[in-house]
Amino acid sequence: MLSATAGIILCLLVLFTLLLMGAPIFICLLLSGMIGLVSVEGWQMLNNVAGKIAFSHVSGYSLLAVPMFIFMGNLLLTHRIGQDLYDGMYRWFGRLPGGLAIASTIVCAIFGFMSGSNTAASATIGSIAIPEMEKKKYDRKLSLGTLAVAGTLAALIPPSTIMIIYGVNVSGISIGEVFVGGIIPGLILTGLMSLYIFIVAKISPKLAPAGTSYAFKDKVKLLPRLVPVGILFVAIVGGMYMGVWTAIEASAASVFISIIIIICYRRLSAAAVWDAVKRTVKISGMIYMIIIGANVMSYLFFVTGFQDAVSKFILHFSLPPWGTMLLILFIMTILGTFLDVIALITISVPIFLPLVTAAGYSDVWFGVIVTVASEMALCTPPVGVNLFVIQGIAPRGTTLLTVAKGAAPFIGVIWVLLVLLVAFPGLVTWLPGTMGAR
Amino acid sequence: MLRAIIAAINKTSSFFGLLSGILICVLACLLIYDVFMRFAINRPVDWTLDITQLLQAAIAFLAAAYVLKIDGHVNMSAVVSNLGPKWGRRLTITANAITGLTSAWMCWLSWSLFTKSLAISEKSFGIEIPLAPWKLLVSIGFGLMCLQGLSMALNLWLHPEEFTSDGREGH
Repeated sequence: MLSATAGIILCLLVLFTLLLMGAPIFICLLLSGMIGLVSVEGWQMLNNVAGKIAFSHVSGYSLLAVPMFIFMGNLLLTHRIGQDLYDGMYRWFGRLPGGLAIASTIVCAIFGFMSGSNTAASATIGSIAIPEMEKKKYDRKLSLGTLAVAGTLAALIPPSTIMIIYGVNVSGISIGEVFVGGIIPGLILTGLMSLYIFIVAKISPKLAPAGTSYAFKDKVKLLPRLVPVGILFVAIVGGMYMGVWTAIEASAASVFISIIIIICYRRLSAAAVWDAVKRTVKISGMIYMIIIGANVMSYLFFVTGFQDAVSKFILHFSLPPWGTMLLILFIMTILGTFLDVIALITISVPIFLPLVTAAGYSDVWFGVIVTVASEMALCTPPVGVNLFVIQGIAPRGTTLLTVAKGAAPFIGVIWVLLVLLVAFPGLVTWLPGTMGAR
Repeated sequence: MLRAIIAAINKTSSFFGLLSGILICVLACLLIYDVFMRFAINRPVDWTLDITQLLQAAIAFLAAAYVLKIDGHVNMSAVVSNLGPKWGRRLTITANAITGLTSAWMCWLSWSLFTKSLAISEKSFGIEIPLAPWKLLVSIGFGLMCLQGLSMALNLWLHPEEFTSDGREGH
């Protein structure tokens, strides 16, 4: 058998080889973790734990909210509820320089309150906004980059599947608190992104020309279209904030309320519901398998003491708390370029959380920080899922590189938010501190 | 003959994907019922807790092969798409074969999870549902994924014209 260090090196070599070969990420994590475990601990250990890890990690109670929030997002997507939001916001912000891109960003943020899925947000708003931006001769890199990153706002604004995955990995944490903690950073990021687009459009109007101006009464006329968002926001976030129900109860209620909203809009169709079910199977199935693969690898890191070694490595720099956090975020940014966000969270949270709490930060705060870091992972090649989604609905011939180049400046904007949150943790922790208990 | 086997495997994966979709609807109904009983009628039920958790595991394992079939699992396709059709196809065949073989390994490893659970008549904590049939789903799920992975490798080997190196969608 190999030493722990040699086992980890072997595991990472297998991982990178498989990633480069284009194997599904869950297989890369699973096989490299299994090979690592066999080489360090022997066959018997693997035989004892592999099945257990697979079964126990996908039958957890907290995880139940994931398929439900994804189902809710897909129901709204397949019944075209996002279209109304977009029309409403365009009338308010369309006349500004970069107005279409700003409206898309704001709609993605609002859609985030109704959906836990970043791909549902990107796909919904992207499929409406891209043809409009093409018509207005927007710079393609700017328009596609905006939509790829704006879609990730759904990961930060509650409900969020990524925050649930974080909650599953941290014992005793209230997912509701992490949800509520994401509201202020989500709104700040929406503002920062809009400001960036406005400045770019002001400097180079050709990149993002201003749109049509509407009369005030026409703007007000479309405000009732925001009612569904208001209802879902009150039901999901309001319910958890007041301590009425848990994230899982909120997720079930949100599916029910979405169906009622769709019925009220007279858009309910069996075909669209089944389409939403199929999309949910696809996304949930993918998430579950990554959870299994990432947990096998995380178990290897645990038994070999790799987590302690990383902690010692970071501590030996003797950095102040904010320095430790920036170093952790830097490492997570690198990991996020080649790991899916679910794997990133499952593997990195057990390693970094003890360091973060020792530095004086709360686990709720770290949950939001990890989610913001995950937003970058969603938009950086080669595994940035949102880049693929936007490429899939972009005009024919658009390469992944074009979308990635467009998203790159927004990564800088996300880093501005991260620095703000490290400098002022109260931006995250204040709102959860005022919550009712449940 | 091989074409028929590949088609049969695809159909099986699709069938279990469909079953998984139905289970998602059942799961949603159960969770909504639970919330309704707790908050509207004020008579909380306890039996949904065990069932919903086990249903979730069933959804995860029964959907896995279907998700593989429709290319729903996230991967890093940058290298494959830049290699050109010949080497891209070879690498994809290898990746699919590795997916199949890894799943076969997991299918074998998780079999003991089922046999041990069966031997001790293991039951869930709440309403004491026998766990062995649910744990068998781990082996079934990985077994289906093994067949799907290997059939995709075989299909691409037999039909080079079906190779595409597109990016894939995730969550």
